[in-house]
Amino acid sequence: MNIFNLPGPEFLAFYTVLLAVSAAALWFFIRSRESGPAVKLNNISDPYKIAYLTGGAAAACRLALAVLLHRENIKISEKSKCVATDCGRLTITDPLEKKIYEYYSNERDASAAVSSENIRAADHLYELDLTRAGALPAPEQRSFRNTAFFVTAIVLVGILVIKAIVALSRGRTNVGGLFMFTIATPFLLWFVTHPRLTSRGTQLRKHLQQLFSDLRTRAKTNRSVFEGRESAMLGAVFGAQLLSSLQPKFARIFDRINKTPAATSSNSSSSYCSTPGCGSSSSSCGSSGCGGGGGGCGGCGS
Amino acid sequence: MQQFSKDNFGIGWRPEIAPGIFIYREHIDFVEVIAEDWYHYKTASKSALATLAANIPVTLHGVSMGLASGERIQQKRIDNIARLYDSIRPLFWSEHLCFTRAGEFEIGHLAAPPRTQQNIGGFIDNIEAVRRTLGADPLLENIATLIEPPGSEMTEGDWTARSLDAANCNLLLDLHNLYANALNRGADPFCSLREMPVERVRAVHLAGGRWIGAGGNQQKLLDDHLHSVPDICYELLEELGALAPQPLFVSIERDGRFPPFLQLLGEIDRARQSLAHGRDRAGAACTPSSLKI
Repeated sequence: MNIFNLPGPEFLAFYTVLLAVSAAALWFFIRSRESGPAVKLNNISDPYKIAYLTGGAAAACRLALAVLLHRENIKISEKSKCVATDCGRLTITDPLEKKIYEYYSNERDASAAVSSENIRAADHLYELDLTRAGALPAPEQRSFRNTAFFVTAIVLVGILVIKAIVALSRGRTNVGGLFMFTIATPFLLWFVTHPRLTSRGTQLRKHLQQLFSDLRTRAKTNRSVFEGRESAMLGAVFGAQLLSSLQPKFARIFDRINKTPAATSSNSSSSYCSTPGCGSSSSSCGSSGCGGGGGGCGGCGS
Repeated sequence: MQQFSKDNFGIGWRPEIAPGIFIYREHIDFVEVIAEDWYHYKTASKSALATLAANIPVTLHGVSMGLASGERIQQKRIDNIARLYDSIRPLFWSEHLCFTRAGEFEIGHLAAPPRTQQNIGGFIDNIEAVRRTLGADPLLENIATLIEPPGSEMTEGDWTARSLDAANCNLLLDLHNLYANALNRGADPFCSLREMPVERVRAVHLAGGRWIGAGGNQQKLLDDHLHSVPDICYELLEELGALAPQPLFVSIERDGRFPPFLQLLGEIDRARQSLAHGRDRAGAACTPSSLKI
């Protein structure tokens, strides 16, 4: 059977099946090639590294901002923007927190936490470590992914091009479907061949969520148990929004962040900086305690 | 067999305190996982335990085998723990010197068997069955009992020593269980400690309990794992440190009513200090590569 002699609809049906099978085969092939033993992280105590694993650089930056807001190292100003306070400046030791804190030395929107500058900082802090651990693709794995993508795309798009030429040579002009598939095929294949995490990284993310799964379902009743850093770890595994159900203070913070202008980064699975307008300004460095897990406020109040 | 050259301090893995365990990982040398918590999971879900073990050293603790029994343990129970053991390769695994069922009747808790030579024979048979399947001997833990097992012919220390000698196994010494048993029968816990085969201790549990009414004006100490470790247990640990020079794995057991995690860390740190004081008193140094579990 010469597939290029198939009538248009039959050819498109055939091609759809071919594309689906190719995509599935690629997906399984790459996942199995990137599989391996359980990932051992260099430092499982870092909630921002975990957030980077589960949601990318933007998730890590947003979590850091949420924690800094909770600890009142950053406050929401009267202009509904975020600005660093002097509260606990010396107690901020985490490098990503420091970066975010310094970024907000000037008043900015909450959504700016995921500026390219902060994203680059998060990438610099965590990408290499997670790559070495096997959770993110190593250069040779990326190279293989690219090769698999290009070879498959060339073959599949080549089939479409040949069919289009055959169709046009026979006087047919209804090649819109071929054109759409020609555009869609590379996108689909790229999506399948370039997941952000390796299969080991995906396993690690799934396992962390499983190990913590009891807490997710009981988050509302466990409010009083977790101090700041533990809450941050839960936010890292399940997304910063979970923090809202853990502590009322996080809920108020997220409520305000969600009213700020839309995020500018797409490198995240969570997105809560969406709409304009923060709520009213909050806080002085006061009774709820600055530097949760890291130390006291030290003379901020007035 | 693995070799260890220093004391290690950890805590029981409970999902409720998972974030704290991760955040304060640098203060924790290992976590103890309850085997039965994972039996009902499918293989794919059990692999989460392998991920945990890859990132924090894990010991495996069984709570339902009932090895110290005249009844032969069912092979499926051995297979359950063998599969888990193979998948995570823990530092070691442990069970209890107890029985948990009689025929088809599940008691539902750890029960102290009569301390008789006959029961030692049953225990040896079960250990041999476990050995054939797993290839790795468990540490055996002394259990708490509110009553002295009827029909007993030996003291707790004597029976424990004979059982472990006969089976050539080592001891996970639960100091709160030892303390509760001593208190409940009106004995001195430090004397009870010295009656135990301390040369066979490889791991230690620290836990807490509460007083319960036992009829009349009598009260007994119940080891419920829901309270902080009492001061006496740290004193016993210090004494053990002086008596037993081999490296030990010491873990805090807490099953519920969890305090802030920093408080649990405080218990781990206090255990560390207590054992160190005991070592200092004895002038004992951990012999490198001297401990095999």
